[in-house]
Amino acid sequence: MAGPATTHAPETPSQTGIGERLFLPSVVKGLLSTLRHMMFGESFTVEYPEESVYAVNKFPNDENRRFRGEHILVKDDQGREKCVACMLCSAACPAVCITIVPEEVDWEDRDRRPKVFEIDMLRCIYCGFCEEACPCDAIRLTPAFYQVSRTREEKVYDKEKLLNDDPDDPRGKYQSPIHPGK
Amino acid sequence: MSAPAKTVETVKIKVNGKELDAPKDQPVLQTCLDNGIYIPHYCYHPALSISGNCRMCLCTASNAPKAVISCATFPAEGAEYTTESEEVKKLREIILEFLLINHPLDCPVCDQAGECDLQEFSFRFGKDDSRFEEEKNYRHTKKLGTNVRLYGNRCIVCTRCVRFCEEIAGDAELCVRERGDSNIIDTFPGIPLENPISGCVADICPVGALFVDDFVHKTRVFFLESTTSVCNMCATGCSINVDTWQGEVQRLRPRHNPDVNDYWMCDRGRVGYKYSGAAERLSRYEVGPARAGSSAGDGKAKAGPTDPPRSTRAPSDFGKALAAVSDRAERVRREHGPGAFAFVASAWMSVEEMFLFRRLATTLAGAVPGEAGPATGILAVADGEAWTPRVGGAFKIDSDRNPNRKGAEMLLLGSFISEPFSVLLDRLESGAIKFAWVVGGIPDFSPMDRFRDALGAISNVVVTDILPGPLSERATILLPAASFVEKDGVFVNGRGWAQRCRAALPPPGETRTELDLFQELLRRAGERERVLSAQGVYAELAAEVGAFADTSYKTLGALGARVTDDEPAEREPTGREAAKR
Repeated sequence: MAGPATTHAPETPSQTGIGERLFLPSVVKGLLSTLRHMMFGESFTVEYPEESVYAVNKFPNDENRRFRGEHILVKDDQGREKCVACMLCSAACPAVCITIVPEEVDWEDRDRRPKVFEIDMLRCIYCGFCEEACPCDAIRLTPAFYQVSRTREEKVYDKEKLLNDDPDDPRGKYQSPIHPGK
Repeated sequence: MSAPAKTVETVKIKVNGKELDAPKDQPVLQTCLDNGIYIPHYCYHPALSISGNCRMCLCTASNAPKAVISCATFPAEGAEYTTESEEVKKLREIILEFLLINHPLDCPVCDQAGECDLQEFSFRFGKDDSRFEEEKNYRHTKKLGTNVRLYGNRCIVCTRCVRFCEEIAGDAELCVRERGDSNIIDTFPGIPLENPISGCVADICPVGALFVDDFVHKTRVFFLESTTSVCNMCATGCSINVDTWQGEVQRLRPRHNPDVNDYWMCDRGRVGYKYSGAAERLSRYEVGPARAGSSAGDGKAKAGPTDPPRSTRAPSDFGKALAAVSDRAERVRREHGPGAFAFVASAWMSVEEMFLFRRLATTLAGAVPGEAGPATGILAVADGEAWTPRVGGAFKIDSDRNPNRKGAEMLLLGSFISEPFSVLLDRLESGAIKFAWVVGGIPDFSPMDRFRDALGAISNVVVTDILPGPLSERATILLPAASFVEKDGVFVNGRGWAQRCRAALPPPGETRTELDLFQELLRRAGERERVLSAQGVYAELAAEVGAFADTSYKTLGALGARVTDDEPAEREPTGREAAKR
């Protein structure tokens, strides 16, 4: 037993036929698939920036909604913010970019809402913890990701901006229920 | 120190197999808590009578066929209690499920969330779901008094608040109304909850049903940082926690101190932090020229004596302001001698500050044998109304509205201040005083007209204060000061308990604490090598002042210690002891 110790598992007798052991048919099969997509399939890439990502809906079933872009504050069916200023998002935020000042309101169903709700988009790391922490489904990250502004102040989104429900706005259009049935 | 060594009769019991000496007249629950065995409970409170209605503290006992509530079970010799068995666990789950039946899921908007026993116990001991499918009932939300708000839906009717009002506050304003699941805390018609310590019901409420109005919808408790401190609104000197967030005091909470305030504090003290966060706080050092023409002597001859003189002060900084103070003091000493100085301390200073101020006075004024020394005095707020609960008890609100008058008596009277205030007034008005240093630090302070007018005519008036007012208006050199939430120091309450006040926040703007200010001046005068912390100054003080000997920040600890030799007042029984009689 002086020879080098075997580290390999003992070889098992092959269960495959000669065709599979040669790999060639599989390689050809793969190449054919590539060819088919290249010639006849739809392209999944967007020619950004010539082409707008918002104009071209490449993902009809999914709408790349798993992408974490800029936030919105969701409105309820009466058009009020759903947020109750519980501050769990700002507690969960690792970048400390959410500022909330609560205020008392005289509503039937709740007695508290944010007087101030600001997100510093320059500080935000788009981790989505705020969305996860929210007990009221009031804050969501949309696929919107245009990060262009001329001043720093513009990138501090206030309540009005976050509550935007303009369907032409890249974020505002996601006010419509993202999770149907919720 | 609170009670003479009384032999406590104990019996041997076993809890979870661990042998304990249990005092005979103390419920098993308290014995367990004292020995680090935690039993969840809502209605039991050590200062209140036993009610036994929440059923949360159930445990099994060897001498009882069924589970017993440990808050109302007194130890029997040799009995064995189990608090951590499958059976007890199951019972707790059941009790919690019942308590949560009508409890709304208000945690996101409830200000108790984060320090809520219901939330905590549900997490630690509760079931993860509820089998309740019917509609939850609705109970009223209302203001019980000016300070207290009730969210009826969240109440579990533990009746701690009701018992507090009966046994501690003594006015019994609260009651439980309706029956069954409509059970609700309420006041009697036309009699709101208005006793001076009503805010305490919010502290003892284990859930989010009762709140002090001041704290509702302000912030979340899990953001708060607590600093142990002393309330500065009266000579009771309640031990408190100063809760801060984002550089602001959010609330004051009483801290248990059996020798001072037990578990309570008054509503006046509870909002006693407000002035510290006021926008108009003095935060800039200002130096103006010495007031001319005042050497004429008759201060009253000035036009409009009650009008504040027009400020001629210019913004300065710590170093320059201090230089101005010592320069002018030097000049006055050379030209007029120590008799031209006046030093007015305040009963709102900590003992360390008084100690340094006393020394600073001697340093600045100097002393010439055979000649009159500087005029001295002390500012204090007039007495208010004292309050003791109708049923008796340990807690009372002192009529003395100054946090440290006792400390001032111990440190300044006799040694530093030897003449009554009227003599000080006479000397200030005589025109002989050329340099007066007044320490204020008292919110909403209105000095008597004579004092105010006399100051307006003195050529050099140094004022150390926290808020603009009649004092700061008459200053030629203005030194901003730190409020009690911004400084370290020891305060001696009316009954001679010295307690530590700790800085919870930095002073506003460029302000440095008086401790720094006085020490820096002493350092510049060559009286001291370096600027020490409050602890260091206290050590010096303890070495010099007999009453404070053998005490240090370490021995004072969180609860303080008695520093006077007076016979300690007989501690009156707490609620439960009183109720037992």
